[in-house]
Amino acid sequence: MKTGRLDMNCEEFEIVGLDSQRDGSMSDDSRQRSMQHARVCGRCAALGASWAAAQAELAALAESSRMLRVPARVEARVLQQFRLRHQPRQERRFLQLATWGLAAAALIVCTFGVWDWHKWRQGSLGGNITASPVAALDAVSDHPRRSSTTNAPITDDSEFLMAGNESNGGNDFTQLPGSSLQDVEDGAIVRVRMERASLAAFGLPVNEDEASDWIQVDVLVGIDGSAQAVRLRE
Amino acid sequence: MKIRQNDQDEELLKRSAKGDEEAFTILYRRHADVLYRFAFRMTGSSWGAEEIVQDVFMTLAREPGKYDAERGTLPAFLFGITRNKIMKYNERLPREISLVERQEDGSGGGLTLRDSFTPAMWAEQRERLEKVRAAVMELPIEFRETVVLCELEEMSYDQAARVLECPIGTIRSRLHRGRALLLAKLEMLRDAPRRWSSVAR
Repeated sequence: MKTGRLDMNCEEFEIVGLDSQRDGSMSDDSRQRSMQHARVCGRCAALGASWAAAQAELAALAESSRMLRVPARVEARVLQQFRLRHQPRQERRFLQLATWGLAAAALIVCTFGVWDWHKWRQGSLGGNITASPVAALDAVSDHPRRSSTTNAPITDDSEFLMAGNESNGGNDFTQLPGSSLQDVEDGAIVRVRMERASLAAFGLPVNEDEASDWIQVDVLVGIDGSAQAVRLRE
Repeated sequence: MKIRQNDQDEELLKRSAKGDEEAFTILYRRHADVLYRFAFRMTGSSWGAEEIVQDVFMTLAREPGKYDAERGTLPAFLFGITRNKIMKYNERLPREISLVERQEDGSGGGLTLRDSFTPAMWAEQRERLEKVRAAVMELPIEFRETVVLCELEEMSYDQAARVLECPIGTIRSRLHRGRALLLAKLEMLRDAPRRWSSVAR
Protein backbone atom coordinates (compact mmCIF):
# COMPACT_ATOMS: atom_id res chain seq x y z
CA MET A 1 0.00 0.00 0.00
CA LYS A 2 1.51 3.24 -1.07
CA THR A 3 0.87 6.32 0.92
CA GLY A 4 1.80 8.61 -1.85
CA ARG A 5 2.80 11.37 0.47
CA LEU A 6 5.65 9.37 2.07
CA ASP A 7 9.01 8.25 0.74
CA MET A 8 8.70 4.77 2.29
CA ASN A 9 5.84 2.55 1.30
CA CYS A 10 4.26 -0.26 3.35
CA GLU A 11 6.19 -3.01 1.63
CA GLU A 12 9.48 -1.31 2.33
CA PHE A 13 8.38 -0.74 5.88
CA GLU A 14 7.66 -4.45 6.36
CA ILE A 15 11.09 -5.36 5.05
CA VAL A 16 13.32 -2.76 6.60
CA GLY A 17 11.21 -0.51 8.77
CA LEU A 18 10.10 -2.99 11.41
CA ASP A 19 13.57 -3.43 12.81
CA SER A 20 14.91 -0.02 11.99
CA GLN A 21 16.14 0.53 15.53
CA ARG A 22 18.25 -2.63 15.50
CA ASP A 23 19.52 -2.79 11.94
CA GLY A 24 22.93 -1.22 12.20
CA SER A 25 23.41 -1.25 8.46
CA MET A 26 20.43 1.03 7.96
CA SER A 27 21.09 4.68 7.29
CA ASP A 28 19.71 7.38 9.58
CA ASP A 29 17.69 8.70 6.68
CA SER A 30 15.96 5.35 6.11
CA ARG A 31 15.32 5.07 9.81
CA GLN A 32 13.69 8.48 9.90
CA ARG A 33 11.55 7.64 6.91
CA SER A 34 10.35 4.37 8.43
CA MET A 35 9.41 6.11 11.66
CA GLN A 36 7.60 8.76 9.71
CA HIS A 37 5.73 6.07 7.76
CA ALA A 38 4.64 4.31 10.94
CA ARG A 39 3.28 7.57 12.28
CA VAL A 40 1.02 8.17 9.30
CA CYS A 41 0.10 4.59 8.26
CA GLY A 42 -2.30 2.92 10.68
CA ARG A 43 -1.79 -0.56 9.26
CA CYS A 44 1.97 -0.39 9.52
CA ALA A 45 1.70 1.16 12.97
CA ALA A 46 -0.41 -1.82 14.06
CA LEU A 47 2.05 -4.18 12.43
CA GLY A 48 4.86 -2.44 14.29
CA ALA A 49 2.97 -2.82 17.57
CA SER A 50 2.29 -6.47 16.85
CA TRP A 51 5.94 -7.09 16.10
CA ALA A 52 6.96 -5.24 19.23
CA ALA A 53 4.73 -7.59 21.24
CA ALA A 54 6.20 -10.58 19.46
CA GLN A 55 9.68 -9.26 20.15
CA ALA A 56 8.85 -8.97 23.82
CA GLU A 57 7.78 -12.58 23.83
CA LEU A 58 10.92 -13.62 21.98
CA ALA A 59 12.96 -11.63 24.47
CA ALA A 60 11.22 -13.47 27.30
CA LEU A 61 11.96 -16.75 25.56
CA ALA A 62 15.59 -15.73 25.12
CA GLU A 63 15.79 -14.64 28.73
CA SER A 64 14.28 -17.88 29.95
CA SER A 65 17.02 -19.88 28.25
CA ARG A 66 19.83 -17.36 28.70
CA MET A 67 21.14 -19.20 31.71
CA LEU A 68 21.29 -22.50 29.91
CA ARG A 69 24.69 -24.10 30.27
CA VAL A 70 26.02 -27.09 28.50
CA PRO A 71 26.01 -29.96 31.02
CA ALA A 72 29.32 -30.94 32.57
CA ARG A 73 29.02 -34.45 31.22
CA VAL A 74 29.44 -33.09 27.70
CA GLU A 75 32.75 -31.49 28.64
CA ALA A 76 33.86 -34.75 30.23
CA ARG A 77 32.97 -36.68 27.09
CA VAL A 78 34.63 -34.18 24.78
CA LEU A 79 37.83 -34.08 26.80
CA GLN A 80 37.92 -37.83 27.06
CA GLN A 81 37.73 -38.12 23.30
CA PHE A 82 40.33 -35.39 22.94
CA ARG A 83 42.66 -37.39 25.16
CA LEU A 84 41.98 -40.58 23.28
CA ARG A 85 42.77 -38.79 20.08
CA HIS A 86 45.99 -37.14 21.20
CA GLN A 87 47.44 -39.50 23.78
CA PRO A 88 48.27 -42.27 21.34
CA ARG A 89 50.30 -39.77 19.35
CA GLN A 90 52.24 -38.75 22.44
CA GLU A 91 52.62 -42.36 23.46
CA ARG A 92 53.74 -43.29 19.98
CA ARG A 93 56.35 -40.56 20.06
CA PHE A 94 57.50 -41.70 23.49
CA LEU A 95 57.68 -45.31 22.35
CA GLN A 96 59.65 -44.33 19.28
CA LEU A 97 62.11 -42.37 21.38
CA ALA A 98 62.33 -45.19 23.91
CA THR A 99 62.94 -47.74 21.16
CA TRP A 100 65.68 -45.68 19.57
CA GLY A 101 67.18 -45.03 22.98
CA LEU A 102 67.18 -48.71 23.87
CA ALA A 103 68.62 -49.64 20.51
CA ALA A 104 71.39 -47.08 20.91
CA ALA A 105 72.08 -48.27 24.45
CA ALA A 106 72.19 -51.90 23.30
CA LEU A 107 74.58 -50.99 20.51
CA ILE A 108 76.88 -49.17 22.91
CA VAL A 109 76.79 -52.03 25.39
CA CYS A 110 77.55 -54.57 22.63
CA THR A 111 80.39 -52.45 21.29
CA PHE A 112 81.95 -52.07 24.69
CA GLY A 113 81.32 -55.72 25.46
CA VAL A 114 83.09 -56.93 22.33
CA TRP A 115 85.88 -54.45 22.80
CA ASP A 116 86.27 -55.45 26.43
CA TRP A 117 86.23 -59.13 25.55
CA HIS A 118 88.93 -58.62 22.96
CA LYS A 119 90.91 -56.63 25.44
CA TRP A 120 90.51 -59.33 28.04
CA ARG A 121 91.49 -61.98 25.56
CA GLN A 122 94.53 -60.07 24.48
CA GLY A 123 95.39 -59.39 28.09
CA SER A 124 95.20 -63.05 29.02
CA LEU A 125 97.50 -64.00 26.17
CA GLY A 126 99.61 -60.97 25.60
CA GLY A 127 101.76 -59.27 28.14
CA ASN A 128 103.35 -62.67 28.55
CA ILE A 129 104.02 -63.94 25.09
CA THR A 130 101.80 -63.05 22.19
CA ALA A 131 98.21 -62.08 21.38
CA SER A 132 96.76 -65.53 20.71
CA PRO A 133 97.29 -69.17 21.39
CA VAL A 134 98.39 -69.61 17.80
CA ALA A 135 100.98 -66.90 18.19
CA ALA A 136 102.02 -68.51 21.44
CA LEU A 137 102.47 -71.75 19.67
CA ASP A 138 104.33 -70.03 16.87
CA ALA A 139 106.75 -68.96 19.48
CA VAL A 140 106.89 -72.50 20.68
CA SER A 141 107.40 -73.82 17.16
CA ASP A 142 110.23 -71.44 16.53
CA HIS A 143 112.04 -72.55 19.61
CA PRO A 144 115.28 -74.08 18.40
CA ARG A 145 115.28 -76.72 21.03
CA ARG A 146 111.78 -78.06 20.57
CA SER A 147 110.92 -81.08 18.53
CA SER A 148 107.38 -80.84 17.38
CA THR A 149 107.40 -83.90 15.20
CA THR A 150 108.22 -86.54 17.70
CA ASN A 151 106.08 -88.04 20.42
CA ALA A 152 109.02 -89.03 22.47
CA PRO A 153 109.87 -87.08 25.59
CA ILE A 154 112.35 -84.38 24.98
CA THR A 155 114.94 -84.74 27.52
CA ASP A 156 116.11 -81.17 27.40
CA ASP A 157 112.63 -79.85 27.86
CA SER A 158 112.79 -80.12 31.58
CA GLU A 159 115.83 -77.94 31.49
CA PHE A 160 114.16 -75.62 29.11
CA LEU A 161 111.14 -75.51 31.32
CA MET A 162 113.10 -74.83 34.35
CA ALA A 163 115.56 -72.63 32.55
CA GLY A 164 112.75 -70.69 30.90
CA ASN A 165 111.34 -70.12 34.29
CA GLU A 166 114.37 -68.16 35.14
CA SER A 167 115.83 -66.77 31.96
CA ASN A 168 112.67 -65.73 30.16
CA GLY A 169 110.55 -64.94 33.12
CA GLY A 170 108.23 -67.79 32.29
CA ASN A 171 107.22 -66.33 28.94
CA ASP A 172 107.63 -69.41 26.71
CA PHE A 173 105.26 -72.30 26.25
CA THR A 174 106.57 -75.77 26.01
CA GLN A 175 104.72 -77.99 23.63
CA LEU A 176 103.65 -81.18 25.22
CA PRO A 177 104.65 -84.48 23.65
CA GLY A 178 102.05 -85.80 21.25
CA SER A 179 100.21 -82.45 20.96
CA SER A 180 99.15 -80.95 17.66
CA LEU A 181 99.63 -77.28 16.85
CA GLN A 182 96.66 -77.18 14.51
CA ASP A 183 94.15 -77.72 17.30
CA VAL A 184 94.89 -74.67 19.36
CA GLU A 185 93.66 -71.87 17.14
CA ASP A 186 90.44 -71.58 19.10
CA GLY A 187 91.90 -72.92 22.29
CA ALA A 188 92.31 -71.22 25.62
CA ILE A 189 94.92 -70.67 28.23
CA VAL A 190 94.04 -72.03 31.65
CA ARG A 191 96.07 -71.12 34.69
CA VAL A 192 96.31 -73.89 37.24
CA ARG A 193 98.16 -74.50 40.47
CA MET A 194 99.69 -77.93 40.80
CA GLU A 195 102.54 -79.86 42.28
CA ARG A 196 105.60 -79.89 40.13
CA ALA A 197 105.46 -83.67 40.17
CA SER A 198 102.21 -83.44 38.17
CA LEU A 199 104.17 -82.20 35.18
CA ALA A 200 105.22 -85.79 34.77
CA ALA A 201 101.66 -86.55 33.75
CA PHE A 202 102.23 -84.29 30.72
CA GLY A 203 105.27 -86.41 29.84
CA LEU A 204 107.70 -83.82 31.12
CA PRO A 205 110.70 -84.69 33.26
CA VAL A 206 110.57 -83.46 36.84
CA ASN A 207 113.39 -82.67 39.16
CA GLU A 208 112.69 -84.94 42.10
CA ASP A 209 114.22 -82.59 44.62
CA GLU A 210 111.52 -80.04 43.84
CA ALA A 211 108.75 -82.47 43.01
CA SER A 212 106.64 -81.53 45.98
CA ASP A 213 106.74 -77.79 45.25
CA TRP A 214 103.52 -76.07 44.28
CA ILE A 215 103.78 -74.13 41.07
CA GLN A 216 101.51 -72.08 38.84
CA VAL A 217 101.28 -73.30 35.29
CA ASP A 218 99.56 -71.85 32.24
CA VAL A 219 98.13 -74.67 30.22
CA LEU A 220 97.34 -74.10 26.56
CA VAL A 221 94.22 -76.16 25.97
CA GLY A 222 93.27 -77.14 22.45
CA ILE A 223 89.85 -77.14 20.91
CA ASP A 224 89.40 -80.78 21.90
CA GLY A 225 90.03 -79.90 25.55
CA SER A 226 93.43 -81.58 25.79
CA ALA A 227 96.54 -79.76 26.97
CA GLN A 228 98.84 -78.78 24.13
CA ALA A 229 101.52 -76.76 25.86
CA VAL A 230 102.45 -75.48 29.26
CA ARG A 231 104.24 -72.49 30.69
CA LEU A 232 105.64 -72.08 34.16
CA ARG A 233 104.59 -68.96 35.92
CA GLU A 234 106.99 -69.12 38.84
CA MET B 1 54.44 -21.77 27.81
CA LYS B 2 51.69 -20.91 30.25
CA ILE B 3 48.20 -20.48 28.91
CA ARG B 4 46.30 -17.38 29.83
CA GLN B 5 42.53 -17.22 29.85
CA ASN B 6 42.56 -14.24 27.51
CA ASP B 7 44.78 -15.88 24.91
CA GLN B 8 43.42 -15.53 21.41
CA ASP B 9 41.34 -18.32 19.99
CA GLU B 10 43.82 -18.87 17.18
CA GLU B 11 46.70 -19.39 19.58
CA LEU B 12 44.64 -21.77 21.69
CA LEU B 13 43.58 -23.68 18.61
CA LYS B 14 47.19 -24.07 17.46
CA ARG B 15 48.10 -25.50 20.81
CA SER B 16 45.07 -27.74 20.86
CA ALA B 17 46.11 -29.15 17.52
CA LYS B 18 49.38 -30.20 19.15
CA GLY B 19 47.47 -32.06 21.84
CA ASP B 20 47.42 -29.36 24.51
CA GLU B 21 44.38 -30.33 26.56
CA GLU B 22 44.41 -27.19 28.66
CA ALA B 23 44.16 -24.98 25.60
CA PHE B 24 41.37 -27.12 24.22
CA THR B 25 39.50 -26.94 27.53
CA ILE B 26 39.69 -23.14 27.53
CA LEU B 27 38.36 -23.04 23.98
CA TYR B 28 35.56 -25.39 24.92
CA ARG B 29 34.53 -23.41 27.98
CA ARG B 30 34.72 -20.18 26.06
CA HIS B 31 32.35 -21.21 23.29
CA ALA B 32 30.37 -24.27 24.33
CA ASP B 33 27.53 -22.53 26.17
CA VAL B 34 26.55 -20.19 23.38
CA LEU B 35 26.68 -23.02 20.85
CA TYR B 36 24.63 -25.19 23.18
CA ARG B 37 21.95 -22.51 23.52
CA PHE B 38 21.88 -22.02 19.77
CA ALA B 39 21.56 -25.76 19.21
CA PHE B 40 18.90 -26.06 21.89
CA ARG B 41 16.89 -23.21 20.45
CA MET B 42 17.17 -24.67 16.99
CA THR B 43 16.38 -28.27 17.88
CA GLY B 44 14.22 -27.86 20.96
CA SER B 45 16.04 -30.80 22.47
CA SER B 46 18.63 -30.69 25.21
CA TRP B 47 19.84 -34.16 24.27
CA GLY B 48 20.15 -33.09 20.67
CA ALA B 49 21.97 -29.93 21.67
CA GLU B 50 24.42 -31.94 23.77
CA GLU B 51 25.12 -34.29 20.92
CA ILE B 52 25.61 -31.42 18.53
CA VAL B 53 28.00 -29.52 20.80
CA GLN B 54 30.00 -32.66 21.37
CA ASP B 55 30.20 -33.29 17.63
CA VAL B 56 31.25 -29.71 16.98
CA PHE B 57 34.17 -29.84 19.37
CA MET B 58 35.26 -33.26 18.22
CA THR B 59 35.29 -31.90 14.69
CA LEU B 60 37.43 -29.03 15.92
CA ALA B 61 39.80 -31.45 17.66
CA ARG B 62 39.95 -33.73 14.64
CA GLU B 63 40.36 -31.12 11.95
CA PRO B 64 41.66 -27.89 13.44
CA GLY B 65 43.25 -27.06 10.10
CA LYS B 66 39.83 -26.49 8.59
CA TYR B 67 39.62 -23.19 10.41
CA ASP B 68 41.01 -20.36 8.35
CA ALA B 69 41.49 -17.18 10.36
CA GLU B 70 41.39 -15.09 7.21
CA ARG B 71 37.86 -16.21 6.47
CA GLY B 72 36.40 -15.21 9.82
CA THR B 73 36.51 -15.61 13.55
CA LEU B 74 36.57 -18.92 15.36
CA PRO B 75 33.10 -18.35 16.89
CA ALA B 76 31.69 -17.83 13.41
CA PHE B 77 33.45 -21.00 12.26
CA LEU B 78 32.04 -22.93 15.19
CA PHE B 79 28.57 -21.56 14.55
CA GLY B 80 28.92 -22.74 10.97
CA ILE B 81 29.79 -26.28 12.09
CA THR B 82 26.96 -26.19 14.63
CA ARG B 83 24.57 -25.10 11.96
CA ASN B 84 25.55 -28.02 9.73
CA LYS B 85 25.14 -30.43 12.61
CA ILE B 86 21.73 -28.96 13.38
CA MET B 87 20.69 -29.46 9.77
CA LYS B 88 21.77 -33.08 9.92
CA TYR B 89 20.05 -33.53 13.25
CA ASN B 90 16.83 -32.08 11.91
CA GLU B 91 17.03 -34.26 8.82
CA ARG B 92 17.36 -37.26 11.08
CA LEU B 93 14.53 -36.30 13.42
CA PRO B 94 12.24 -34.11 11.38
CA ARG B 95 8.89 -35.17 12.62
CA GLU B 96 8.93 -35.03 16.37
CA ILE B 97 9.19 -31.72 18.11
CA SER B 98 7.96 -31.88 21.63
CA LEU B 99 6.40 -28.78 23.05
CA VAL B 100 7.98 -29.38 26.42
CA GLU B 101 11.54 -30.52 26.52
CA ARG B 102 12.12 -32.91 29.37
CA GLN B 103 15.24 -32.94 31.44
CA GLU B 104 16.77 -36.05 32.89
CA ASP B 105 14.84 -35.58 36.13
CA GLY B 106 11.59 -35.36 34.22
CA SER B 107 11.07 -31.66 34.71
CA GLY B 108 10.59 -29.32 31.83
CA GLY B 109 13.87 -28.09 30.50
CA GLY B 110 15.15 -24.92 29.02
CA LEU B 111 12.48 -22.51 30.03
CA THR B 112 12.97 -21.14 33.47
CA LEU B 113 10.99 -18.29 34.88
CA ARG B 114 12.80 -16.46 37.56
CA ASP B 115 10.16 -13.91 38.50
CA SER B 116 8.16 -14.61 41.57
CA PHE B 117 4.70 -14.75 40.11
CA THR B 118 1.75 -16.44 41.62
CA PRO B 119 1.49 -20.07 40.56
CA ALA B 120 -1.31 -19.22 38.16
CA MET B 121 0.66 -16.42 36.54
CA TRP B 122 3.73 -18.57 36.45
CA ALA B 123 1.83 -21.36 34.74
CA GLU B 124 0.27 -18.95 32.28
CA GLN B 125 3.56 -17.37 31.35
CA ARG B 126 5.24 -20.70 31.11
CA GLU B 127 2.54 -21.91 28.78
CA ARG B 128 2.91 -18.79 26.72
CA LEU B 129 6.66 -19.22 26.42
CA GLU B 130 6.25 -22.81 25.40
CA LYS B 131 3.94 -21.71 22.65
CA VAL B 132 6.37 -19.07 21.47
CA ARG B 133 9.10 -21.66 21.46
CA ALA B 134 6.91 -24.06 19.54
CA ALA B 135 6.12 -21.28 17.05
CA VAL B 136 9.83 -20.68 16.54
CA MET B 137 10.44 -24.39 16.16
CA GLU B 138 7.81 -24.64 13.47
CA LEU B 139 9.53 -22.09 11.26
CA PRO B 140 11.34 -23.47 8.23
CA ILE B 141 14.96 -24.02 9.11
CA GLU B 142 16.43 -21.13 7.11
CA PHE B 143 14.02 -18.65 8.72
CA ARG B 144 14.35 -20.27 12.13
CA GLU B 145 18.11 -19.97 12.23
CA THR B 146 17.91 -16.32 11.23
CA VAL B 147 15.29 -15.58 13.88
CA VAL B 148 17.22 -17.50 16.51
CA LEU B 149 20.49 -15.75 15.71
CA CYS B 150 19.04 -12.24 15.43
CA GLU B 151 16.25 -12.33 17.95
CA LEU B 152 17.31 -14.89 20.54
CA GLU B 153 21.08 -14.78 20.28
CA GLU B 154 20.82 -11.03 19.67
CA MET B 155 23.41 -11.03 16.94
CA SER B 156 23.64 -8.08 14.60
CA TYR B 157 22.65 -8.63 11.01
CA ASP B 158 26.29 -8.44 10.06
CA GLN B 159 27.30 -11.14 12.57
CA ALA B 160 24.44 -13.36 11.46
CA ALA B 161 25.47 -12.90 7.84
CA ARG B 162 28.99 -14.04 8.68
CA VAL B 163 27.76 -17.07 10.61
CA LEU B 164 25.33 -18.08 7.88
CA GLU B 165 27.81 -17.12 5.16
CA CYS B 166 25.34 -15.11 3.17
CA PRO B 167 24.86 -11.44 2.26
CA ILE B 168 23.29 -9.14 4.79
CA GLY B 169 20.40 -8.59 2.39
CA THR B 170 19.59 -12.29 2.62
CA ILE B 171 19.49 -12.02 6.39
CA ARG B 172 17.12 -9.09 6.15
CA SER B 173 14.92 -10.92 3.68
CA ARG B 174 14.83 -14.16 5.71
CA LEU B 175 14.15 -12.24 8.84
CA HIS B 176 11.31 -10.43 7.19
CA ARG B 177 9.68 -13.66 6.08
CA GLY B 178 10.48 -15.42 9.32
CA ARG B 179 8.88 -12.62 11.27
CA ALA B 180 5.81 -12.74 9.09
CA LEU B 181 5.39 -16.46 9.71
CA LEU B 182 6.14 -16.09 13.37
CA LEU B 183 3.70 -13.24 13.81
CA ALA B 184 1.00 -15.21 12.06
CA LYS B 185 1.57 -18.16 14.37
CA LEU B 186 1.65 -15.99 17.45
CA GLU B 187 -1.48 -14.19 16.37
CA MET B 188 -3.16 -17.54 16.00
CA LEU B 189 -2.04 -18.46 19.46
CA ARG B 190 -3.55 -15.28 20.80
CA ASP B 191 -6.73 -15.87 18.87
CA ALA B 192 -6.27 -12.43 17.52
CA PRO B 193 -7.03 -11.38 13.97
CA ARG B 194 -4.08 -11.72 11.64
CA ARG B 195 -2.72 -8.38 10.67
CA TRP B 196 -0.04 -9.67 8.38
CA SER B 197 -2.08 -11.35 5.78
CA SER B 198 -0.06 -9.92 2.94
CA VAL B 199 3.13 -11.81 3.70
CA ALA B 200 2.30 -14.70 5.99
CA ARG B 201 0.88 -17.06 3.46
